[in-house]
Amino acid sequence: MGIPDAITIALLLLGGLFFLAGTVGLLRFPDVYTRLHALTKADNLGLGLVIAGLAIQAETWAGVGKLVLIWLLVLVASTFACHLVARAALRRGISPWI
Amino acid sequence: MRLPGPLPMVRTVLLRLTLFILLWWSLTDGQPESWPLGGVFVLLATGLSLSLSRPVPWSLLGFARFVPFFLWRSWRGGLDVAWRACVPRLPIAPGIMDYRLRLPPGRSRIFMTAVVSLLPGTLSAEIVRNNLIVHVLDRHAANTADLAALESRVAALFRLALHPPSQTHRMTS
Repeated sequence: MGIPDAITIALLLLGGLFFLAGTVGLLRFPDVYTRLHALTKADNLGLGLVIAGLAIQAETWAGVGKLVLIWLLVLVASTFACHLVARAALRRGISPWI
Repeated sequence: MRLPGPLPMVRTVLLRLTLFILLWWSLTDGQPESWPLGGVFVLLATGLSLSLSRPVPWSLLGFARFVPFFLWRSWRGGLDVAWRACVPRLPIAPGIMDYRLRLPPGRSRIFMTAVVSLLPGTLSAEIVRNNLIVHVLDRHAANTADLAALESRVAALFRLALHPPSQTHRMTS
């Protein structure tokens, strides 16, 4: 196992930890708004680390481009979904947990 | 806003053409036999994008500064929320905050709204006139300063000058 493989394994494990932490936040946080925090931030970083780990293993630069594109598309989808859920909750008068 | 420099439309067309060529190249792993079809779609996509969205003024330097800023804040944001989720006593003090936007309505503002939710402790919930309603995970953190820092980076990215807000930021709840 070379150094690139070791870095990949480390990045994938770290990314997985952030997904786990995001899920813990989803379960433990008290209301819809705080749960959204857990999902968007932890998944942004978790997926970013997983993508970085996989990019090291990519055989071509085109493959790296594809992976980065996946990350960006997920970011766009997650941030707008998060905004829409939070906005819908506010408009329905769901008051934040203080 | 107009793009500075000569022939802004030519620059925009060349930039979008390049982006779509890169996209096709990436999706097809650069297979040479895919280009006859790819060329047609690159041209169609460029034409469609030009008809759907007007040229956006942006700055390469602003972009080069924004990327490391975004990556660093994403890292901090992920660590922050992971830590708060996993500590047994659940160290959060959430609240809703009004942030008076200095960015003008338009793409820069939408971009800022999107990025706010990816950065530490803030989540954009609504835009009411010139105020961004932000849900924060910790009322006692330097949220206003963080948002102002992000706003100036976004302004630099879109080549905008920010004017000081006519109203001070207000914390509610």
